[in-house]
Amino acid sequence: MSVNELSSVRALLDQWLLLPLFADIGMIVLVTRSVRNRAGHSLAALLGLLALDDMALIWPELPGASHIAAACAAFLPALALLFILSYAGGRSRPGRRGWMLLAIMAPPVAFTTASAGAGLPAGNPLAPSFSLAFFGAAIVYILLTGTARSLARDEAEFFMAAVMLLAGAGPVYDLALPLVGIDLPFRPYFFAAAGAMLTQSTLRYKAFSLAPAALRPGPGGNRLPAGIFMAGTGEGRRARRLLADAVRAGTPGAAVTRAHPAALRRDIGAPGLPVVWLANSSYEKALPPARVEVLSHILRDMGEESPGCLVLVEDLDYIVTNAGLFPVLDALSDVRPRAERARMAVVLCSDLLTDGERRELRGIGVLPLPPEDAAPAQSRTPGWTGPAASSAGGPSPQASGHRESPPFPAGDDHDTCQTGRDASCMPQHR
Amino acid sequence: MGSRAVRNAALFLVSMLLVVGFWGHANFYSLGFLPLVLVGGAMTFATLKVIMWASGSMGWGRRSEGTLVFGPEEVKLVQYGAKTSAIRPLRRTRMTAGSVYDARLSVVAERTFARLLITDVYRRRLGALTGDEAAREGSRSMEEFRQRWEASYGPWEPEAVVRVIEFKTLGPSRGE
Repeated sequence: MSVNELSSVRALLDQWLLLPLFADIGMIVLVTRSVRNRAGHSLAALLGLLALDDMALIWPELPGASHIAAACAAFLPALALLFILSYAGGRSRPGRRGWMLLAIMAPPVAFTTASAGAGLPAGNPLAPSFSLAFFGAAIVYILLTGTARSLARDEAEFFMAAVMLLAGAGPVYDLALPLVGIDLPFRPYFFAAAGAMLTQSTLRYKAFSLAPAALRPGPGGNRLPAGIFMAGTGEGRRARRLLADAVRAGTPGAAVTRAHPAALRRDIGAPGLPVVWLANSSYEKALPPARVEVLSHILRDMGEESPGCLVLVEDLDYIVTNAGLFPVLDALSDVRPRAERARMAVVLCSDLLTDGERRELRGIGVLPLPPEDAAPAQSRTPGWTGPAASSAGGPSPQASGHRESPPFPAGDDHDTCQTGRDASCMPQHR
Repeated sequence: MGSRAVRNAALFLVSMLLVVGFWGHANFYSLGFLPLVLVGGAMTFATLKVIMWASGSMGWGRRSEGTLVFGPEEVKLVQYGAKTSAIRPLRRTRMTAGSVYDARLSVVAERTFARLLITDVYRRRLGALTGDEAAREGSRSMEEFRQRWEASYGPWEPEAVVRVIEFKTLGPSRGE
């Protein structure tokens, strides 16, 4: 097929090439303004790469435009993988994040350097071949490591479609071009569509993200060590009181609950408390309980934005019923190390979990809520500053090389779920 | 039967619209065979995906993810939308709001009589259930609900945790 036959389509596509470029730039602005975490940064980098690729196509007379296009092809799968891993989090080990970044970025850097050094001509098939192989390896890695399981069903579909668009319009199209012979500037449009899909997915969870806030400025007084705790049956009232006391003492706090946010704020006397409302409702500010991966993102963001905060998660049974127990365990396993690093305490509360579910939760390191009369004690987890140290603004025990014993011996079960029958943690009638 | 006819009519209408679209863009034919196939195929695919998405949000095109079993006396209540929830003993199986289930008649194996869109699933203690919840379940009073529960699941234990499944009847099942 000759190019002349396609002249009208080509003219149309050429005429509007700035549109996908502006779309990419707009999405970069949107993402960097709204999603200030690793997922946002890696998506902005990916969108930046797509914009760079567009520019190389729109203005081929720019110096090094052909080399930029080749470099974009090499870096495209690496940045796509980086974004998906940042977003899904899942099983990635936080301690190895630096190494992961190095392992992902090293191959395209090495390839680009080597191809530039070898003086390979523009349009050679090596770059798309490398890119395609990298895409394949990235997909295999995501499937083998279980990262995809940290995504909700539609997120996994969205991401897969976006990756297919990126690979199809990028290396696959480049390699197939000599065979098919249709040389049309489709790529920026497909890239912009893929970028929009990823941006849309990322912004969706951001809509629920809230920064924990204190009721009034103060030294803080989070008496709980960093980590995830489970209130026993009948301890719902106490869990709410813990949050109320903390936010009044100046500790940033937030709640996730099935109760109406206004009712919760009124109940604990904390107007303005950030609350994520769990509901299967079409109301846009309600978080469906099945979206456990979004909840995981929210908790992670809260820790990053307000270190030392206290977050109360009520009605865990509602989340377990809708999302399933194992996704909840996955999400909490992902949140726990981040909570410990951010000195954040997450208090889970539900009267309606079964004994088996509580056992499973303890199995992933969810601790029973320390007894009310227990003296403030240091966490067995690193990074916690006890109330004395934090209120005095002094160094943390870890900083001074000192560590006190945990509030209760490891393995000691303070869970009162078998005995308590207080109705205070019962879900309210809504 | 009626909804199937409506669906087929809608599909025929869409098919005609697609043909009209190609007629309106007759100069596309001058592009040659391959671009026409590619562009036309992509447009058709996109149109069909939009239709599938739209119908999926209404529960039409969605595959059933399981069955909910009802007694013979509940069939009419479910079909006419008078019964909008089911209260069941707690199971570990996941049931998510937004999924579609087939309503099955317990006494007739394999026969389904309605398609249900699950709108909410939550837990309750039996003793904490309210009259409103019993009414949505199809009972005229808590006492009636209690009798029906005891007939189906044994003694009434107020502390037992149950699952409340709220749903909307979409219409007759596909086999109807």
